[in-house]
Amino acid sequence: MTVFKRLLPYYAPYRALVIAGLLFVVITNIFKVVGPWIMRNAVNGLETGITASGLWRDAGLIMGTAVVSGIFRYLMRKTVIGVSRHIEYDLRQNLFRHFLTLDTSYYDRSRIGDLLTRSTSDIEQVRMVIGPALMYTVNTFFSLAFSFVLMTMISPLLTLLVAVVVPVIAGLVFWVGKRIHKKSTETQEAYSDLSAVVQENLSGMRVVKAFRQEAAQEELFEEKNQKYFKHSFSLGVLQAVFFPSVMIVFGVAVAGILLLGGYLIIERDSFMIGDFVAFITYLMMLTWPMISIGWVVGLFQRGAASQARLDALFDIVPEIHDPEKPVVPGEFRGTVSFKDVTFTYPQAETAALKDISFHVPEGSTLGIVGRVGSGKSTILSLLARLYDPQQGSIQLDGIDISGYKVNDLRDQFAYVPQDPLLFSTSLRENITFGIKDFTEQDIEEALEISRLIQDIPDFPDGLNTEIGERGITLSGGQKQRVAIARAVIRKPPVIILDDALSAVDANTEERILANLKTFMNNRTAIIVSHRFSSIRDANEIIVLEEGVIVERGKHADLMDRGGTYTELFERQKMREELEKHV
Amino acid sequence: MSRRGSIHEEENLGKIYDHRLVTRLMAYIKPYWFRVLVAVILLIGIAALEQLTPYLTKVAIDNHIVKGDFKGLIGIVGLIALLSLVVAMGKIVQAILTSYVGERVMFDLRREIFHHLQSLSLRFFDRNPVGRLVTRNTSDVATLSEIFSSGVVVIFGDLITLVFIVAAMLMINVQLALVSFTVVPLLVLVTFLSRMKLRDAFRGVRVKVAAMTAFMQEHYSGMRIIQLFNHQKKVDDRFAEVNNDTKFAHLRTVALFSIFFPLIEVIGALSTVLILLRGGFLVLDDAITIGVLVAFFQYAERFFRPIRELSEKYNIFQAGLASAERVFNLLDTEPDMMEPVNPHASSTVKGEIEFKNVLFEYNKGEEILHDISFHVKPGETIAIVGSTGAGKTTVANLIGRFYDTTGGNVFIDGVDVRKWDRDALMHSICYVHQDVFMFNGTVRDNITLGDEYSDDQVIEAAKTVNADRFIQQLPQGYHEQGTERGATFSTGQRQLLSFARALIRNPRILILDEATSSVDSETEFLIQQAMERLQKGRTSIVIAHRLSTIMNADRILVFHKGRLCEAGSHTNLLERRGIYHRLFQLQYSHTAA
Repeated sequence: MTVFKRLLPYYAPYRALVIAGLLFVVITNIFKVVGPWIMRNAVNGLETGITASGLWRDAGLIMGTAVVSGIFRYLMRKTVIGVSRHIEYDLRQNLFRHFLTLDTSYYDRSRIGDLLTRSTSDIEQVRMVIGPALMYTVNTFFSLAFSFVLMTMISPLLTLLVAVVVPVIAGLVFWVGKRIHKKSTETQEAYSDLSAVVQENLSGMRVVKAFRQEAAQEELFEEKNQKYFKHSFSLGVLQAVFFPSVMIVFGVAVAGILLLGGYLIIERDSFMIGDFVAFITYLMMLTWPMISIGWVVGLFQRGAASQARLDALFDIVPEIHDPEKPVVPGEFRGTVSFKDVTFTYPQAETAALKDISFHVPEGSTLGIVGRVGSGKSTILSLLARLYDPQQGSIQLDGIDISGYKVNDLRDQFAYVPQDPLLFSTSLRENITFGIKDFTEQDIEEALEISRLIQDIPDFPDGLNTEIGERGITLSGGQKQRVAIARAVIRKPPVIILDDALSAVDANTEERILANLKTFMNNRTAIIVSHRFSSIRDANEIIVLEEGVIVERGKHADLMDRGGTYTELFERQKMREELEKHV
Repeated sequence: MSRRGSIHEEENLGKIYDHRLVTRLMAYIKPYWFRVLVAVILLIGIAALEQLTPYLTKVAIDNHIVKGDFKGLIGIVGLIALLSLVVAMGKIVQAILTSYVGERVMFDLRREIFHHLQSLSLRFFDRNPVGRLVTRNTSDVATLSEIFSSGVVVIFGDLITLVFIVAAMLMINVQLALVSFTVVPLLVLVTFLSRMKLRDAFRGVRVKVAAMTAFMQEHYSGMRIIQLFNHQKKVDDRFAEVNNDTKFAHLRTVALFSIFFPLIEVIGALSTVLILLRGGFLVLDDAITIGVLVAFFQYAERFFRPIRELSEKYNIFQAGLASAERVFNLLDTEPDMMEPVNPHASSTVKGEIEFKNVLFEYNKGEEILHDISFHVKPGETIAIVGSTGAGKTTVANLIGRFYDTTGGNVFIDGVDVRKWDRDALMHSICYVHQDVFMFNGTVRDNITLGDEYSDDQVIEAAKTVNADRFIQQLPQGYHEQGTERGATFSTGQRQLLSFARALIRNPRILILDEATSSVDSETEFLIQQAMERLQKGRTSIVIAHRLSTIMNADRILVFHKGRLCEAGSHTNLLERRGIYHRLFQLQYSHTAA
């Protein structure tokens, strides 16, 4: 139960509601137990001679208590379960806020599916504890307590009988419930196994057919199908036994009350038919809370497991955070330098970058080329502080980037990533992503630079067109151009292009490059590209191979050298030619 | 890829009752008709016996308690206890039988679906996502079976129970029975109204939760961009909106649920009060005994459950039928590749391959291969080269008849592949794919794929293809479990395993799709050596990426955009300075040194 301690602060804003809700539980139960009591008086009255008006009065009272009890039951559910929904909201919002702070390296090693499970079903399990489990626990307690008080007032002897039966039902429910839970976990596993076989068979269908494995696969499936049937059916048997066995205990209890009550009436004359009716009603009233105990215990168990998973998540502290005393810069100029930077990705064995040094003076352009996996994008990720290098220093305007506030640092870059990654909002929102103050003029400019302006007439609602999830309604080239517009609208001192024009056709590329040239006039630019057109004019080009700078210089110099750069250049030219060839 | 001819998920959800569908479903119960019959008889018997208890209570009160006959009371009470025991036992047996039949039907259906899936061609699988087909075989079957287990049986049981309760009440006292029934319209009204409201509310919840999940999914995947652009605050605000929408959708169901249960209780109290008033006056008038009144209280209580449950079952029934429709649609998909009438089977395959004017398109108008003709002599090694999308893999797939050509013929040993017995054909052809698919199971299983081979044969094959060494180093050796999709093995190791898989089968024709991903030079050497050994003495077609493979081939076929453009030996083709020349420069020149 201690795992739930962390939930207590979440109750705080709703303290009044929780107290009211629990009060409603008490009131509901008081009125609920009074009903059978009046009923008893009425039925007993039928034997001892009740007046017509007495009968009407009792009937009215029963109806009245039922209505009052009903109203408070409504209020109780609405309040307590409602609070659980409010807390669920707070919990999820906090979790999401926490996700916003976690490092890129955390996302590298996590599966999105798991994060979604934490945010949905784990939170739901915890909510079940916060609301329903709490409510049913308190409800069961009070309905037991109140009923027993009234039953004792009618007949201590018969109360004793009920007092024996109630734990038997509770125990039975608990015992069978535990078995059902265990069996259903097993059944669930068998079901996953079965699905896995189907999944594997279907994804490997090419191999299955190539190696004539159809029969073998059917045999394997048959085995899993049998196993699932076995588990599923024995779960069915347990469930089949569950309710009827509770009903047996209940039935025997009713018979017992009848016998014992009959004995008291006949031999002792200390019991009446009305008392009998009341007892049966109380017994029935207690059956459901008893059955719910087993369910509630399960809720607590599952909730605790989910809470533990959430705790572990909340306990993760981001490695990349603001320094204690951040540098407050005047205006950023955009001088970027790497000094002996070595970086190994978490969980990787070999370094992605080794001893990288370069200096990009304010307003100049650095080109980075190299094969796939040579470390080009890694340089950019380090500059934006998505990861921290293990060795060396990265500086912006002569100060190590870890000295700035993370947000201040990132605001200095117009980053166009390899994968544009758009969001399913309007085009306008995707372009103005992350900036607060902008004018229509700014958007126009960004559209012009990215040449997105030529496509706007094709969109049904222009800039307000909603683009599908991850921009699926856009072509690859359009997505990249949105990413360019999104970056340049920020007008920062440094622009970073990570192979940003790969899907744009040659014509448009040329025009964008021309536009960017003006844009980059007084800005620092770092450009990774497979296409040499975009880096030909760079002030310096570095050539990476397996994380090491193997060549550096201007385009003409590198071409003269006839090394890796020349080879990459030639091959790219050839590839472009082959594309044209039919 | 086009989705034409695929099975659509969303359609046909509105139908409530389709006669043919139900008839077809009944066929699945037929093998278990006796169990079903017993279950139905039990169901009726239980429903009748159950209604005796309140009556016996009346007898106990009127005939024994009131008359002071304790001995008689013991008898009656014993009977009540016995009755509840019998009823419970009957219920257990009936539920077990029902569950058995339900599970059995699911079992049979799953087997049938799986079997059917094995008979469908790759063309079908290209068009239908794996996830959807898995759903058909698992959750759709489960939903469908609810028609039996909680649908039909329970509906029938509830109806029968209601009939018996009504009959019992009428038999004991007509006037009091009619008074009790007055609340029924109110109960039905409240139940159905709130069901309808709840259904709307739940639909609202589903929509909002789906939107929220999509939002989270998108933003978790795009977290890097959010952080790079300092968009956290805005995203947090937007999530608050989405989160809030979900909360309010939930609160709506909370409100509805909160009102529903108390309302049902109040209606229950109303019926009790009505019985108390009418019955009370009848007792005072000596028109009925007090026992009758007590019995009626109990009947009224029992009256409520079946009415409430009936409304729930309707939805289950509907969902089950929708699933049944989807499952049957899948089962009705005809295999699109016909087996030959008089299949050609030969135990001694020579390994000659011929393509004659082969045309191939996946979808009409999208030509993948254009007029391809070539001939491969038994024992020849052919390298196929070309850039991505040239049609290389399609050529390989047509040899083993994974697809039928759109035009032209493919011959093996001079016999059209469409006339070959499939087993015999596939027995002489072995495929080694670039992306090696590993099944869940041991290393040994992944080599034998469940066929009968001795340990010696397995080790021999692994040794020949240089796989034995790394397998021996595994903690469990040949019995090491490969995890899902063989993730614990490196690309090179998986490649070697797939060679062993091919070699052990000793095929006449080997079709090899060389892996493109680079491996370290030692593994590279091992793979190269293994490939040479593998090709020895067989016809082999290699989709080649390695220069050594190309140089060693007897002939090279150069594909470009679905056409066979050039063919000949390496030197031959280089001299021609055509496409091969360019491709060679582009892809192989840096490894040539």
